[in-house]
Amino acid sequence: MPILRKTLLLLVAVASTTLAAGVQPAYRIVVNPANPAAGLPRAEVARMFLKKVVAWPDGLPVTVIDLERSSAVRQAFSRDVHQRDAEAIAAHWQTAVFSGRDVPPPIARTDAEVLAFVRANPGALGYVSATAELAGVKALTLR
Amino acid sequence: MHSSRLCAASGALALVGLLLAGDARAQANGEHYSLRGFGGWALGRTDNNNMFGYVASGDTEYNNYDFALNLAAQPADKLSVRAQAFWGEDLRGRRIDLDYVFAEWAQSPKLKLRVGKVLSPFGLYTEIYDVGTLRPFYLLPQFYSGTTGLLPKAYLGAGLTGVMSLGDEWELSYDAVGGEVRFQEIPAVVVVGRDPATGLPLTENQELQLIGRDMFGGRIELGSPTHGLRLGFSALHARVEQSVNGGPREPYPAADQATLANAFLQYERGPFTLRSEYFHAFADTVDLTSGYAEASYKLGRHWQVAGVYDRGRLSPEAGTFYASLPDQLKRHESFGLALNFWATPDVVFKVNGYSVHGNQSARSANPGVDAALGRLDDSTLVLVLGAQFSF
Repeated sequence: MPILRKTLLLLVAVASTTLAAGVQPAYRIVVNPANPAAGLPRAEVARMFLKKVVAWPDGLPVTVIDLERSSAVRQAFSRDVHQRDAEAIAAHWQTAVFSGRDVPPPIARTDAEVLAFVRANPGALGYVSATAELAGVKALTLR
Repeated sequence: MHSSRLCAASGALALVGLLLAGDARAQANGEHYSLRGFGGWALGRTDNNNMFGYVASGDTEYNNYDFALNLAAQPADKLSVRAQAFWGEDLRGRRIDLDYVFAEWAQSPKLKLRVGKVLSPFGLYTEIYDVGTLRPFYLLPQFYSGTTGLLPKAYLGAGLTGVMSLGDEWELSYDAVGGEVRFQEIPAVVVVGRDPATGLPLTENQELQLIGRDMFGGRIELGSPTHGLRLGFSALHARVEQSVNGGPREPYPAADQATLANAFLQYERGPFTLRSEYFHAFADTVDLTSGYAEASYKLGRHWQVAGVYDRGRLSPEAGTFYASLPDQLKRHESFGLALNFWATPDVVFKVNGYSVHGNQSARSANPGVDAALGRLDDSTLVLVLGAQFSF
């Protein structure tokens, strides 16, 4: 009986750890360290990435940077933040470009390119994989 | 007129060439211009003498292609310039044009002023008229691209546009425009008299350009990017003039004033997309109603199936020229099916088939005469095989 109880407890512990790992976002949202913001609502971040909010509360222009459409990190970010898949967001930008309404954010190929862009631009907003080393940038909490 | 278009397009090309000589990826490098484009080619065939969508006839038509280069530049923080040069050929002939060229002052996302030749904010497709990677069918619904040619791609003038957030999930976008619109050129068959021997009408093919002067209108749209939903209304009102075969402007006999109104709905969620629109054109002596519903579903990453139902009706006032047309020339009903293969999200191969009833959009070279002689087929089957891309 004690063996059965220990086995069950072990199984519950393993399942909890797996579930906890499952809800860990695959990305982190990053800003320049000079940016006073600590966290932002999901919808606000989505609007910034769609260029519908173009300034931070202190008036500094928002300059967003995206990852390539095929990136698994972008897919995860898009599903969480835009609540649409990356293809739907790409179609949104195609419509904006060819209707002459807007152009999409610049595209970085790697986390390192995103981090370099965010370090160099005080109003920058980007996202990188959860495992990226966040040297010289600040992680933003999604509310 | 043709040479001025050629000059305009050549100028745009030169500008594009200069930019290409620099770095087409400059936008990705943090500079302020971008270069994009789209194009396509199609083979079209009908099962009788009727033409459909300007890409299909009883002879297999191979000569359907188009290509556009799109340029966006941002010379100052709030100022941007946009241009799109278009080249294409189909049964209407060769077309070289600037789809648009305008400057935009963005005070904020809520208020932007645009001046120049600007795409008409009307319905779902007018601003992405030729972009095949944003729709399941090679051809647009007939109100956009049919023989009535009633939707102007662009206006010459000024407009205000903006988008306003309505809470976390919803937003309101709006456009108000004023100026002049050029409708699609219509190859019209005009009755110029009667054959004295047979009494049959004598006809002449003419290129009819309708112009809407003193135009004003706009679009209002409620949308939720999160839910993939767009719904709204658009309308344009103008004084109508015509130019026949590139000649001087003159009053258009069928209408002094015209109003175009439209309601639209789009729902996109995952692999599923639904679009539907209703149009009504009110003119002095003739009204035109049209509507379509289009649904598509993506099966995995590559395959897509789609269907469309499209219907239109011309309702002329009694005693007018249009009232004398045979009924089959005043109605359109079609069912279309598509099977598409998306090689990548930016390259798609399309197999589209339509069953068309009525001759408002599917018609022979001389539909009036053919209808009078009872030799105009009321039903037409259409096959369109094509590829479209964007970058």
